Amino acid sequence: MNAQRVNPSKQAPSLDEPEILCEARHVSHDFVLPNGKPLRVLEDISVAVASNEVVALLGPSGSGKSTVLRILAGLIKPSHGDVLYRGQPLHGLNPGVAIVFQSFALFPWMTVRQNVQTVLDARAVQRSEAAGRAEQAIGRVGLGGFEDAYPRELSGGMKQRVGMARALVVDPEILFMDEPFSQVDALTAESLRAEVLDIWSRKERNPSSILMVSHDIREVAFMADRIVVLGGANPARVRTVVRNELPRPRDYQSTECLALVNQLYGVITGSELPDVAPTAATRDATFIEPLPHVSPGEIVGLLEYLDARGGKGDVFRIAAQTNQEFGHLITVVKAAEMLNFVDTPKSAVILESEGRRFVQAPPEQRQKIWRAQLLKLSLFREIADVLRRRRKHSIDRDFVLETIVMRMPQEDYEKVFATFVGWGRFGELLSYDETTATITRYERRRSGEPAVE
Amino acid sequence: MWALPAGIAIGLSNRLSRVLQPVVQIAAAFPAPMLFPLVIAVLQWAGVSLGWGSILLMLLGTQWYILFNVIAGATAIPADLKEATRSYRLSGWHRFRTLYFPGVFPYLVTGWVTAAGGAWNASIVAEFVTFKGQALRAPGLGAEISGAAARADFPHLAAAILVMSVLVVAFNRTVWRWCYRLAEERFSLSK
Repeated sequence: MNAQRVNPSKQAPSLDEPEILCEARHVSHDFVLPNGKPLRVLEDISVAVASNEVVALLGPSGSGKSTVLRILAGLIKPSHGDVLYRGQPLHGLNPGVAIVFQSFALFPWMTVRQNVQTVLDARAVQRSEAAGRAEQAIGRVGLGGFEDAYPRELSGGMKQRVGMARALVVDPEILFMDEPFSQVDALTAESLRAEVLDIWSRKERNPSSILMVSHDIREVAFMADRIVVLGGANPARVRTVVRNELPRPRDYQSTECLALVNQLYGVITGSELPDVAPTAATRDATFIEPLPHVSPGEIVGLLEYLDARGGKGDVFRIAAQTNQEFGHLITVVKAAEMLNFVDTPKSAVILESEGRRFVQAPPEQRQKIWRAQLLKLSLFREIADVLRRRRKHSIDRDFVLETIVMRMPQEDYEKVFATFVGWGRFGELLSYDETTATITRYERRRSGEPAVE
Repeated sequence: MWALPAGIAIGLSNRLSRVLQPVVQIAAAFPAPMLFPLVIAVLQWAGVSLGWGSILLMLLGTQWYILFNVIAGATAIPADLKEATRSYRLSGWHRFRTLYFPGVFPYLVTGWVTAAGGAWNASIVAEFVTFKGQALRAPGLGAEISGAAARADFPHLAAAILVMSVLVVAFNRTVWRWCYRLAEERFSLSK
């Protein structure tokens, strides 16, 4: 893919020539679905980690970035393609790697010291030496004094420090970090990022390189030398690789850093919200649109927001102004686009005529428009058809779940069902009785009270 | 104590638990005392005294509780901890010691307690057996109860039952309570 220079001023080349430590070449991977069919989750992924660099895998959730990390670590064997460690094909676990997990993955029944030291026992390190190395690793992450604490006594940030100490104690050439700070509060994450870079920048000792997985664009702009953007779902591909040569230590607020963040936003929105939406004709007949897990209220909120600002907005600005997590906002925009309420050229979101008609309509009228748009989606159309034909105009929850599982096996069917019911109720298309788990056609009550949440 | 490794193996493997769960459930539903005559015949033939034999009989009826609980415990071990042990190359005995045993310990205690309750009951049947017209008995409280019941010796029966009840309560109060506390404080996965 095309590498883009962000900063034209080139850094001085490092003294020792960088060498490729570990690399995936044209890797594709299939998951086996419960019905036995393979589902391609990664397609033709090539990623390399050289010495003395920080590489980030960036992408929205579901883009397979954690799977790429596990393939490079040797935890998952890819269906196709090669994984190399120092030029040799990798068999089993990658010997140069230690992983820091998103969920910390500490043993709750062991103290900090035991958690760190136990991974050395597995490597046949002498007891006395192991104790010293554990002590040192715990000190390196700033946890001295907490050696005998149990994980439950520690905050999220401190737990992740233990996770880092456990990784560092085995002296890995490459430190793998899987969304390391996503379960840590924002301020702590801030200081941990700087500390990780501090540990990494000591050139005379390991880890030589870091491979991190993240969905946080600012985080990768701050930390990484190279950013591999993954995109698309089932399969995910490498969208582009962006080189980040900003001098360290970096400043989030510097114009160069902000420009890079914007560029990355553009790459992600460009791939996640394609300007040309795939039409039904390009898909096979059994395809039904996966419903993004978004509540009607959020979609209406987005439309109101756009309407109040001249019918036009920019995804970054909307995310910033509404204090929304960027990934989730993308999902909301996608949902609004499915319903033909908005259009998304590049990173802009534009209110379409249908969307404008919707926002400006009174409540009953809104429901009518919403319902009309729902019936353009095949899942709603099909279920509405079945409901009309059934004698009591009712079907079981299981019927819908089955339809979802059969036709969009890669989706979380419970979530899709919840969205289905939420959207259907909002459009007065259906009612759902949770105790009997039946869906019925919506009937307006005699009293004239519309039952709408 | 085959139930611990077997339970862990079944609980950890999706395929094993799919295949073996129904088998285990059917086997457990089969009332163990029905097997007693058969086992006793074998024991007699092998010349094993009922003192040892009754222990075997009691195990026969109670192992399932442990197996079930261990299977449940092994399925509940978080995937991230399993992945961590794998990526840090903790294997074999070391993995058992750091993850599987502590992970299933709370379930194991529950299994033990239920099993122990069942064993007290089974002891009544197992220690006093009438086989081919002759009464075989092992020295024990269970035999006292069965014997007294057979002789319709009510004062004796009442005393024996009282002693057993006191023993059970004392056992629960000391040994099991200690185990429970350990399980909750040290080996809870919820914290």
